[in-house]
Amino acid sequence: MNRWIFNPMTRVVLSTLVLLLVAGCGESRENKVSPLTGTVSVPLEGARLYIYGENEDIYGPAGYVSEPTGPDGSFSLSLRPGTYVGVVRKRASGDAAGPVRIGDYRSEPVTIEVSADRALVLDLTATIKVANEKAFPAMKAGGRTGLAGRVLDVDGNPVEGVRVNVYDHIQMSERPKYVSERTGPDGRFLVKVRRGGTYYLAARDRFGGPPQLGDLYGRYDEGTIDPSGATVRKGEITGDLEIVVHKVW
Amino acid sequence: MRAIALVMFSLMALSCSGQIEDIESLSRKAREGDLRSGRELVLAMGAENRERSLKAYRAVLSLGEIARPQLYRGLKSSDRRVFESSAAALGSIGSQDSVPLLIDALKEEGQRRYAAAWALGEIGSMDGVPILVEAIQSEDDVLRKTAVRALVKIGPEVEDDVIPVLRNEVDQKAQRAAVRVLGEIKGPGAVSLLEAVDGDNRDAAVWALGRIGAPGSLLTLIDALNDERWVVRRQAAEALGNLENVDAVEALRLALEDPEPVVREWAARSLETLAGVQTLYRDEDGQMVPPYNLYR
Repeated sequence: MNRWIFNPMTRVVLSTLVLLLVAGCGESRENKVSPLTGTVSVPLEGARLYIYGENEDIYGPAGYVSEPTGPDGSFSLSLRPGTYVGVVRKRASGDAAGPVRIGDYRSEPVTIEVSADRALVLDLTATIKVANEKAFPAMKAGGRTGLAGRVLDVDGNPVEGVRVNVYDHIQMSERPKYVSERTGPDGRFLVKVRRGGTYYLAARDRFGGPPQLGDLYGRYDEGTIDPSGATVRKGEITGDLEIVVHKVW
Repeated sequence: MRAIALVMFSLMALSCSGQIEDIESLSRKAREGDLRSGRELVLAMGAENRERSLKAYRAVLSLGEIARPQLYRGLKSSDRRVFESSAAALGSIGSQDSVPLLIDALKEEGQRRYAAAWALGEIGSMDGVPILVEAIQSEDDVLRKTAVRALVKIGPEVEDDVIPVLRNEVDQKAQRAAVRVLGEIKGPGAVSLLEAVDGDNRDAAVWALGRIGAPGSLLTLIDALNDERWVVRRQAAEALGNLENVDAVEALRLALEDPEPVVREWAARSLETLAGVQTLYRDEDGQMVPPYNLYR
């Protein structure tokens, strides 16, 4: 099998400081001053490289994810020949998935061409995110069409601090179409959707990837293998949806 | 007086050291056969601190069979979290020997019994079926739903035990749970009973008939396309796609004119499944559009 191997010594570097040195003042020829600028980079430990297919949503689950970089910022991955998009991310929480928050590191997406029998060495730059450029999809969806209800624990008490992910496909495996705000003390949620239709809901306390042991998670279902579809009509709020979450065992 | 104070202090120190002993240490000692550490580890699964609780749960799972006697004690705990975690851990460890104790645990009113139901489903013993069938008739929604999943996990062998619940027309929640189990396990013996289900559970019964896919259900499902409730019509439109019988095509074409957009959408989706060609439907804005691929 032909595979591409990234050089293990490839480094993820972090722009930290723009260094501006101005030559000292002098006479005549020495009167001219020339700016000297540059970037000092340091290796970024604990970052991951996320690899997506060429046309995949880079805000969804990645096809490949490297192990966290070591103290020297190095990473290594093996990929089949093809065109990919790579993004470096390091979350302060240490999580491998979920939104990149202010204070986390992330790189711009880069196109990566992998061909057979040739090692590829990449130097990638990740910077600290200083502001949110985008809102969750649910917040952007306007109108009066939506899904509402409560998230409860196994004792029937409202659960605070979880989000409801709304999918328009039954596997619920890709990026959710809409995401609610975190529930408040009353466990209530409201997710606005752009159009009426059938949606599949899951509540969870963490973002991204399959639910892990110990996560709080629950689907809107009746115990069946596939989730139950929640249907909403245009201009209406389908309410009283109850989702029970419990620890993933 | 001083001696008493010293003893009291020592006791408090011992007690405190038990509470804060780290999970790794408890796990190591439990593995070496220290019963007290094993007990502490099981109790730590119920800790308020989520991280400690999760660590303890992982440690118990890694101990596996060694932890079972202490987990049995956990099933007797009055602490609901310890009970819950102990039942779940026994389910994850998966020993058939745990089944009788989990059956007893499932009878413990006031406990988080759903965890015992979940565990029985994970272990997959037929011995657990009668109590799980009782559980799908429970008023406890979480227990009922978990028991449905457990029975589905055990498999088609549960059909004969579940069918009597399907006949129960008085308890609608129990009947609905039975419908869900029988649909998931594709119980052929339930078809005629499912076809007769009416009232609030008709949508679920139509779903189950679509899952089972018995050719004889065609007329029932076509009839359901004309139900006065749109939830039933929408379910029928989906179920007819699962039936894979081209005799449904004409009825589904008529359903493309249903007043409810979601029924039209499902009719188009099923027509695509049956005829193999993309079918447009009139969406809520009056535009002719293809249904999106729900199963991508």
